[in-house]
Amino acid sequence: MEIFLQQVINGLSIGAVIALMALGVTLIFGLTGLVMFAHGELLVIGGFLAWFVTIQLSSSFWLGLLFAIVAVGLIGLALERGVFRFTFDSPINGFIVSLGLIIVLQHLLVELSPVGASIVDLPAPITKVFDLGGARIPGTRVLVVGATLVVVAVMLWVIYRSGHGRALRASAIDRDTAALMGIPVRRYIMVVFLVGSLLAGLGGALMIGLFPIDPFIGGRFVIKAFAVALAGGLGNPLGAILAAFGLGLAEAMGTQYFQPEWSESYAFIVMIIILLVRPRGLLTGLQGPAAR
Amino acid sequence: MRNRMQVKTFARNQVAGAFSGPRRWTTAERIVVIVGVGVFILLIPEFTTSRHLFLATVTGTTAIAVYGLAVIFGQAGILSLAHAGLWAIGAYTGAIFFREFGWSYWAVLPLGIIFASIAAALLAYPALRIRGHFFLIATFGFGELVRIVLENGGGFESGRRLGLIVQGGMPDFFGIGLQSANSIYYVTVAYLVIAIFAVYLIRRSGFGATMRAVRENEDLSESIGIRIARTKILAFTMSGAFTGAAGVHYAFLLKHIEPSLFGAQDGIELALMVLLGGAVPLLGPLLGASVVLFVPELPFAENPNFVQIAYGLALILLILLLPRGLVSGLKALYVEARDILIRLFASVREPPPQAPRSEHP
Repeated sequence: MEIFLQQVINGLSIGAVIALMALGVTLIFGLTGLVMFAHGELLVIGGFLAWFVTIQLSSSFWLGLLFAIVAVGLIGLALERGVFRFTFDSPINGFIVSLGLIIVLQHLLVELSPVGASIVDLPAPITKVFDLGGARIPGTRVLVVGATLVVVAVMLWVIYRSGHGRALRASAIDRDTAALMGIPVRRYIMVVFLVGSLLAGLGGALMIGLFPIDPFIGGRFVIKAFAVALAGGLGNPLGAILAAFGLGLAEAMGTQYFQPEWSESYAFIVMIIILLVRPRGLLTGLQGPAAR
Repeated sequence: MRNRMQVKTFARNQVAGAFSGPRRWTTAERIVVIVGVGVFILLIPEFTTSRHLFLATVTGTTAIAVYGLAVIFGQAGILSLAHAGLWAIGAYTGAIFFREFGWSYWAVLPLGIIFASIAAALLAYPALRIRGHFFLIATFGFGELVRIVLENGGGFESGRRLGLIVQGGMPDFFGIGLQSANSIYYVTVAYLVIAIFAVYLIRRSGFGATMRAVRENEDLSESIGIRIARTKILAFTMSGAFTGAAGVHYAFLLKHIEPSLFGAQDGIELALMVLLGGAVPLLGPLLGASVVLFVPELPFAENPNFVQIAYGLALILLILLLPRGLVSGLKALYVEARDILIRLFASVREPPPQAPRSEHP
């Protein structure tokens, strides 16, 4: 039972990182039809920046966290302004550009990182350990899950309950009509890139609180993010978040109770089965403006 | 001064005998390019180091797989990131049957082709239901799944992370003492020529036209009786055959294969080669593969990080500025330069046939 609880919190914390990624990925796709594979690199950059600020500049994890969020957000915004806005007419080109960006960002990170391509690690930012029914639950994991839940709740409230969210959803359904109704679609695209990148920065900073990272793990996470975004229906934020926590739990349970070496493949198996059985996702998603 | 239109018409008439049209690639030029590239490829063993010759052989093998991908992307408009996985299926079929059952190179080659084709057909099944991005992401997942399966190994203990050793499998091709690097290179070139010729035939066939119809408008082609699902599956199967053949040859060439050679990242790299060279021009995939594999060898490339960064940036710029690939870009550049030259010569050689009209703007 203790082990089970332990794995639940492990799964939820991994799911939290995936959820933060998936939210950005699915929002960007919903609005622009762009499959943004370089999002994983933003996550890794967030992790490295948090590590750098915490270890090298200050000694406060919170400062590192804040810096990572802001810096990655600005990087994402710069990418939208500098690169991706030229590809919105042809999302397949945008996708290829994002593949090129993976290469650029990855090696730029290796080049600029003071430790090169090696793994970086942080001491746990919260040393307190909670005791829950015999299970020892590290405070960091509670922080990761809690912070993610708060951020996700705010995001969902904005998307589904506020006027801006309504405009955003309208733009995702039909960009042209929304623009005719006076919604500044271009500006929303910019904001979505910014917000998606902020979330990736947060995810990266939280991730390095959980486990050591190296510059090349971004790909693994972006695949998972897309797997859950697909499972939830691309362009559907709520579905993506639910699927992300589901995948995190499935991986943790698989590692504990089945063969651990296969746990990495769950995301792909689930994804392929969902595509075969319900190509539009478990909860209805959008095909995206360009795929229609 | 004559106006531009007149000049153009005039130049066009002047060269009508030699060139079919100033905006197009003529037969004569095509032959020159093909012969030039062919001679260059055949002469490579004469002036390279053995290291570069090996790299050229690897490039040729890779290019065969890239042609498989280019057929479906250029003709049917389906991009796949799963081809590294299909490649792996070819390579591992070859390696396992060679090692465990003692099959010869010639016996495993068709087997690798068949297995990769079957896997491609199975993979194409989702294409019946999903389009565009969804399919792309699914192929990505497939590629990564293949790698995970390979890493965890089946009953072949040695096939796990450490990889498989395929030592001494290269046969004596046609008994001409072919264990040397040169001869393996020439055999690879022969394969490559067969692959390019096959692509050429496919493009000219009725099936090629069917694929292009599906690419241009799926609904419309369905309405005139084209079976979309069958076309896509067949196209994918064909593509898998190329990739499987490349895989078998690759395994015997490298003599050691491991799962990390065939991950999702390598699937992306294959796609980049297609996009870089261009999927439609016949020499596009070859150029794409050569650029990707040879750029890290350039003399200024001392820091591998900078090579990768420059390469990524080049890719981004290429997609933004030359979305149809390097070959098309070079061709357009050449045609432009040629037309300017023709125009110059035409105006120097021949005086205008009549006084120009008044120069209204």
